[in-house]
Amino acid sequence: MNAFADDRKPLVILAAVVLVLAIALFLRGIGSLDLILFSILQYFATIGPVALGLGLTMIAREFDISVGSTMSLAGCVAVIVGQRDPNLGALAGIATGVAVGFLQGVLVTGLGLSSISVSLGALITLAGLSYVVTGNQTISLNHADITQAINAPIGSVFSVRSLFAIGCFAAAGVVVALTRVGAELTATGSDRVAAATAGVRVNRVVVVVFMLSGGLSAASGVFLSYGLSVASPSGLTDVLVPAISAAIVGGVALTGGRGSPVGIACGALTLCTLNAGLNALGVSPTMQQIILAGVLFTVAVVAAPRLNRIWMRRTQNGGGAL
Amino acid sequence: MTPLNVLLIAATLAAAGTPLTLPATAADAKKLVFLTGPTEDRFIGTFSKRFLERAAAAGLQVTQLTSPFDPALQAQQLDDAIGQMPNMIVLQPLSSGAVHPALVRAKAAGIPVFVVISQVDNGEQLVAGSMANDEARSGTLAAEAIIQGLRAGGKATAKVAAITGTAAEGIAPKRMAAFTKRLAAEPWIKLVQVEDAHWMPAAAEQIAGQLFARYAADGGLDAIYGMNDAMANAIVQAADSAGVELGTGAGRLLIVGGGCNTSGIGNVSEHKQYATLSAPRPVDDAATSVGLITDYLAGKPIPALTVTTPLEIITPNNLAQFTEACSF
Repeated sequence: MNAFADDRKPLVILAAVVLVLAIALFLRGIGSLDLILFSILQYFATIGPVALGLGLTMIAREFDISVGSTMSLAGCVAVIVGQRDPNLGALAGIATGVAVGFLQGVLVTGLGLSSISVSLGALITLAGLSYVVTGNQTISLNHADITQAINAPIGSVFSVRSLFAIGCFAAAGVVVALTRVGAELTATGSDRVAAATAGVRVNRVVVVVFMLSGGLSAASGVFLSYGLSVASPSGLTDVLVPAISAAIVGGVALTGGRGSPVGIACGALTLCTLNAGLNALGVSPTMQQIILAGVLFTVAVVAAPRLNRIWMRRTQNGGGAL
Repeated sequence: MTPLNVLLIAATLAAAGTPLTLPATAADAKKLVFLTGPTEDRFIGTFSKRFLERAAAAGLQVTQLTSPFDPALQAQQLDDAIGQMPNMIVLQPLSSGAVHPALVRAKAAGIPVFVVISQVDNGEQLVAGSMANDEARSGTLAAEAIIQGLRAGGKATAKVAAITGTAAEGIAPKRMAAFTKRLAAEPWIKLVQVEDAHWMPAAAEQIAGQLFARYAADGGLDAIYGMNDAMANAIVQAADSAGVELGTGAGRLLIVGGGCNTSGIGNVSEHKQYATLSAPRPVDDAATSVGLITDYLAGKPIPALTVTTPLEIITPNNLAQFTEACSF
């Protein structure tokens, strides 16, 4: 169980990261706050939707490790189809991701397969498909206007890409918090048999979260490819590890049944802020990896049930801090 | 959240705040952000080391950010670099297309960008200057070396394969286009297979082994072009493992590399590799880049494109004059 599994705790981590980096940047001499915030949100636009989709599968006690390949294939499909009509290309890319998610969900629920093995197969298959559809070539999107419009600053720090990502989290947050979908998702991840007994259509929940994971990864891939004006069969970025990290920092329990879109958003923003802030401070990428690992490790330690039990026992006994 | 939790998080973040203790820099020092691929790559590592040495000697304050051949990460790093408002960004573009939007933003922010190692296609209006290898000539000379070696071996017909760097974009397709064009002018030579090893020697070794097996029943391959010396060395290793004889004579395999380095020089001297090419040479190119950058920052005009070290074919005949320069 992840003891960070309510929305306030990821928010506290995010606030602490922002505070420390803000002080560091202030002392070091900040370049342009607007541009740094813009950079943070651009990175959020890339990993945020993927983390959201992956996090939802984790809450349902499944795992979709094909998100990176889905993202890459969707970007390639979108750019190929989008040469004539970018809107149609974007739809084709996202539809590809949704279809991939649907197939995975059906295989997992219909055949009772492990989601890890199914999504591992999908990861490899989709990576190969990306090479096939592109002929092992990087493909440029010949719509400079689209690229410019997607990346153009809105209110200095936002862009179409980042607003889309924020919109995804807002929509997911509202649906999960205010409808029975959230309860069904949590119940499916907590105890599938009990959830089914209580009337939750658990197979449908699992299929839907895989479709969401595929669709969100694909949307991120489409926006990334359109934003960079290229699609590459080898994938434009490594998104799996950051997405998993964001979900964990955001309070999603690896054992399923806990987590929320708001928490995942905080987790993703924490990583993006760390990344952009440390870049702005000139910290070497290798040191950044160590710092990020330190944050993850700390979250894991703090979330340890035994540690929390000890703390609770001490506070109940009127003891002081450890 | 318990106080213990807060304490632990604060301790981690304190570690993250380590840059606070970095020494202050001279206020008047020109600031550069230097964006490259991974420095564990021998070429990039050597280039970076010399670049940083020379830049420090020139009084430049450099922050280097590296990316593991991840174009999206580099595009994000470019955005981060723009946010620092440095005097210049020095960029090894990992994807010509992917850096374009960020270059537009850099230009809008008034930050000049100098490009090293590779080029940005159609980026003349976006960058202050570029320093890069003549990739077309590199491919042509590699083909020339193969033709020369095959003729020296008395071959009347020949089957040639190429194991390339990342074929999707960048340097490799430019070299390969010129290589293919030059070989096409020799009808007695047939380019039978082109394989993409993504600049990874391990992949090149594996592919070479598969090629040996595939063409063994057909008399074997006569030559393989490994697009740089690291990959050519991997092909040499695969040939040794498979018992394929190396050299120019009948039944022997001829290997040509490029971008001379220690392994290439060693293999050429031992006649395991027929030839390599004299450029790019990171030590010289990095020093030249710093010279051009300091000129630009001093307000002096610099050329839009500076081609790196002149290209020559290196064989045992002229090896001695390149041994020192290629020792990285």
